[in-house]
Amino acid sequence: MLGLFRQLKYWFRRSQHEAELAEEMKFHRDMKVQELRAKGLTSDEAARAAAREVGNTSLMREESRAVWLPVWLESVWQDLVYAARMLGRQPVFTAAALGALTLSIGVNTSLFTLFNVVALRPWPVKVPRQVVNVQNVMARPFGDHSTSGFSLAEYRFLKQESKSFSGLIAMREETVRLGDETAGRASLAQFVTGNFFEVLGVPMALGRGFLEEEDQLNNPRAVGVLDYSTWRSRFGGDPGIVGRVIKVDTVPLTIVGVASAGFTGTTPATHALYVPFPALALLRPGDKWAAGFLRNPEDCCAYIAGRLVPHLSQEEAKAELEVLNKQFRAAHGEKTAGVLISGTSFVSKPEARRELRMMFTLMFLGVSMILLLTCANVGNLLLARAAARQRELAIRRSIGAGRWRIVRQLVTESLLLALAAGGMGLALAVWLPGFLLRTAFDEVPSFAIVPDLTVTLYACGLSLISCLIFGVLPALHGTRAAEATVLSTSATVSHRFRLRNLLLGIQVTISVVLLVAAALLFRGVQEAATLDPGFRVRGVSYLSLDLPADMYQENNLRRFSQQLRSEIDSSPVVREAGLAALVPLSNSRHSTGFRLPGETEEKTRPVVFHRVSAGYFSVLGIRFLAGRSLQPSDRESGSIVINETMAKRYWPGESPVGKTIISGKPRLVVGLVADAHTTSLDEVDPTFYEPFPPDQVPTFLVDDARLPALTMALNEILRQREPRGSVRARSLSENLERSLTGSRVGAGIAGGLGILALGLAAIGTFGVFSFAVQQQTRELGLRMALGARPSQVARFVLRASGLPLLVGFAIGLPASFAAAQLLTSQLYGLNPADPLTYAAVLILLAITGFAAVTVPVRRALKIDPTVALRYE
Amino acid sequence: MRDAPELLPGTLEMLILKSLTRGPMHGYGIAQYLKQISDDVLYVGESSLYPALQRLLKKGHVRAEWAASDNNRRARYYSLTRAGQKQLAGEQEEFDRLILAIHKVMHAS
Repeated sequence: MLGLFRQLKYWFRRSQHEAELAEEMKFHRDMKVQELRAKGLTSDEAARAAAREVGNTSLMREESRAVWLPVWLESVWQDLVYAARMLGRQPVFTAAALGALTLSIGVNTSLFTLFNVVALRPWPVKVPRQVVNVQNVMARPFGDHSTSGFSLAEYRFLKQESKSFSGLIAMREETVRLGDETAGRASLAQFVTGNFFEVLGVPMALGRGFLEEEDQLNNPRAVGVLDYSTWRSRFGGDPGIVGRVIKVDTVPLTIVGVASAGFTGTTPATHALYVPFPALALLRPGDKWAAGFLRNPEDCCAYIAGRLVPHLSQEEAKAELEVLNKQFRAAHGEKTAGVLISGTSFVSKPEARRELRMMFTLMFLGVSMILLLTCANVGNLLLARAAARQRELAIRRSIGAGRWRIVRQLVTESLLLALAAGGMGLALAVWLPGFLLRTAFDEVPSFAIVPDLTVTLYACGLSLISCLIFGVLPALHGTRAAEATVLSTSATVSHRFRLRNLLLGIQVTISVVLLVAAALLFRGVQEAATLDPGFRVRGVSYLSLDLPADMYQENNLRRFSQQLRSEIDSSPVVREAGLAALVPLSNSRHSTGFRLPGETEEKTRPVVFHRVSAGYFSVLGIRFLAGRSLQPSDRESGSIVINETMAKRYWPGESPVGKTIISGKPRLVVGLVADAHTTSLDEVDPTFYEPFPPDQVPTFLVDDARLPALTMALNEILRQREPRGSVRARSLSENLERSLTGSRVGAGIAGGLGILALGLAAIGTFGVFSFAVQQQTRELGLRMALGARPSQVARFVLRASGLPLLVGFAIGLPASFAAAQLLTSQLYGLNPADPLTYAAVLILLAITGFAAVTVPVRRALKIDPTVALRYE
Repeated sequence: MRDAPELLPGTLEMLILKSLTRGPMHGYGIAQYLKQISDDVLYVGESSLYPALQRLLKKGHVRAEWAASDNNRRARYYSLTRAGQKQLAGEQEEFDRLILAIHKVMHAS
C-alpha cells in the first residue's frame, strides 16, 4: 500500500526526480574526475576516462526510471502525448473528425439513454431485482391485452397463502382532484396496500408510511402520502405538511408523510398522492364500483407486485402462484389461464416488448448507420493522413521502429480521438434526450433522464468499436507499404486506393438509405396533414363539463345525466349538437367483442365502438352510405350503425343494413357510414356506433357558428342544476395537431439524421476525389503535356473514383426500398415506394455529388504540366 | 567494463544497506566504500548502483536527502530507514546461512 503511495508520489513529481537523478549522476562523474586527477591525469584525460567508466548515462536513467514505472505504461503515455501533439498539429482534421464522431456517438448515446430510462431501468426501489410484477393471464380470446390485474380479494388470498414473497403489494391508479383542481386539471393518485412503501423499501422524506390500521376495510381512514415533487411544487415544500389536512375530491384527507425524492411510483406517470385502498370508500362514497372493487372476488383490477424471498427464482414463485390462482378462481367459479411473473423494467413486460422492439429497432438502425457512416468518413480521412505521413512513418521504420510499434502509435491516435468524442458525446446525451422530449411532448417526464453507469459503458463501448472500425484498418494499411519505395518517390499505392473507394461506396449506400427513410417520413407527415380524416375537423369545437368530484358518484351522476338529457331534448340549440363519449382524435378507444349469428363464442373478435347521438354524424359530416342514422328509440332495441371497413370485412359485396351482430345481445345494423379516423390517424378499425346512453355525461360536438349559443345554453343548465360545474370549449384541430406532433418530431429527427448523413457523404466524396487528384498530379500533368484535352482529363479523374459512387447508388436504392417496408406503419398510407421521394433523394444526391466532385476536378484541370512534372 | 564479479541477485542491495549502517552516504561514497572495504574486488558500476538505490527508495528501505558534501557541493545522501535496518538484519542472517551452506558444499570431500 505504502509502496503504491510512494509510486504515485513519484509519478506526480517525476520531472523533479529526473532532474535530481541527473544532478546526482553529474556529481558522481565530477567526483570521479577529481579522483582521477588526483592520480595525476590531466583534466581532459580525466573527463574522458570518467565518461568511459560511467558509461551510457541515459540507459542508466532509463533503468532507474523503470524501477518506478513499468516500461510499457510509460511508452503508452508517450504514445498518448505524441498522439495529442499530432492531433493538435492538424486542427482542421481533428475538429472535423471530432465533430462528426461526437455528433454520431452523442446521437446514438442519447437514444440509448432514452431506451435505458424507458425500457431497461427497473422501479426505483431497494434491491430492484427482487421485485417482480405479477399479472393475470386472461382467458378471453380477444382484447388488446392478454394480461390484467387481480381482484383485491384475490390479492388478499395470495398474500396470505403464498410463501414465495417476503412482501406482496397491490396498487391501482385513479384520477383525483387535489385541493381546488377542476376536472381538466386532475392528478393521478396511486391507491396502494398498507405495506406498499415497506415492501418496496422506499424511505420517507418526511413523516411516515402507512400503518396497518390504515389498511382495514372496516375502518377506513382518509390518510395519504405525498409525492416529493408534488410536495415541492404544490405545497411549496411546506415542512409542516405532515398532519395537514388537504381536500381530495372534496373529501378532507390527512397527510402522514412525503415519499423520498427518487421515488415516482410504479408506473411512468407522475403520481401526486398515495392513498391506502380502504380510503377509496371515503373518497367515493356511494360509488357502487368502488364498494365492489374493495370486496368482491370477481371485481377487477388491482395490480400486484411482490418482493421475492431471497434466492427464489421467478419460475418457482410462478408455479406456486398458479396453484393458488387456480384454487381461488375455482372457488368463485371463474376460469384462469395462469399467472405471469416479470421484472419491473418496462421491457420485461411482454406486451410492451413488441411495441418497443419496432420503435427502437428502427431508430437504432438509423443512428447506427450514421455512426458507421462517420466511421467510414473518419477512416477515409485517416487514410489520407496516413498517406501524407508516409514519409514520416517510413523514416521511423527505417530507424528501427517495428511495424506493430507504428500501428500501435496510429491506433493510439484514433483511440484518443474516439475517447474524446465519446466523452463529448456523453455530454451531449445528458442534454439532448430531455430537450427532445420537452420539444416533442411539451411536458417534463416524471423520471430523470440522466445517463447512468450503463449509458457511460455504452458510450465507451461505442467509442472503442468505432475506433476499431475507423482506426485500425487505416493503420494497418498505412504501414503496409514497403519503406524503400516510399522513401524514394511518393508514388500512388493502389491498394490503399481500393480501401478508400470501398469506404466511399459504403458511405454513399448508407446516405441513400437514410435520406430515403427521412424523406419518406417527411412525406408521411405531409400526407397525414392533408389526409382526409373522414370527418370535418376545421370549424368544429367540443365542449366538456367540469363537474365537482362528488358528482361522479354513481347516483349523483345518473340523476344529473338524466336531468341534463331532458334539458338537452327541450333545448333546440343543444339538441342539434353531437353527443359523444369520446372526443375524436383523442387517441382513446372503447372496444368490445362481437360475433356473427350462428358462430360460437370462440369466434368472438374485437371491435371498436362509439357512443354517439345522431347529431354526431351531422356535425362531423360523416356521410351515410346506406340505411339511416341513430334514433333515441334505438337505445332499447340495441340497433347500431357500422362503418365501411366493418361492412367490407364481414359482408363483402353485400349491404350490411338489416344484418345482425351479437355483442352482448343481438344488434341490428340500421345504417352504414363512410370510414372516419375518429380514434387516431392510423388505419381505421371495424367500428360500430351505438346510441348515447342517458346515464352518462357527454362531450358536446358543435359547429363553431353555434358555439356561443351552445355555451350559453349549457351554462344556463349548469346554473340551475349544478352551480359548481363549468363548461370548457376546445377546437378539434387542436386534437389533430396533437396527434401529428409525434410523427412531426419523428420526421424531424429522421430529417436531421438524413442531412447529417448527406453532409458526411459529401465531405467523404470530396475528400476521395481531392486525394485522387493530389496523388495523380504527375500522371495528369503528363497526360496534359502529351495533349490530353480538359474533357479527357476530367473523364480520367471521374472514371477512377466515380465507380464507387455508382455502386453505392446501385446498392443503396434496393436497400432503402427494403428499409422503407419497415416504415410502412409510420407513413399514414403513403406508398413506401413513393416515386416522388426517390426522385427527390436522387436529385439531391446528384447535386451534392456534383458539388463534391467539381472542385477537385477543376483543380485537376488547372494543373500546370511543367510544374507537375517538376514536382518532387 | 570492469564490473563486480557476478553478484547473487539482491546481494548488491544488501551491501548498500550494510554500508549505510555507518551513516548517511552519497552514491559515489557508497561505491568508493565498497571498493575500499572489499580490497578493490567489488567494483559497483553506476549502471547498477543507481537503479539499485531507486529500488531501495521505492521499497522504503532507504531515504534520500540533499546535503552539502565534504567539498561543499550539493549531493544526495542516502540513509537507512527503520524498515531498511529490519530488512538488513533478516538478509544478513539469510546470507550467513547461505554462505555457510555453500562453504560446506564446496569443502565437502
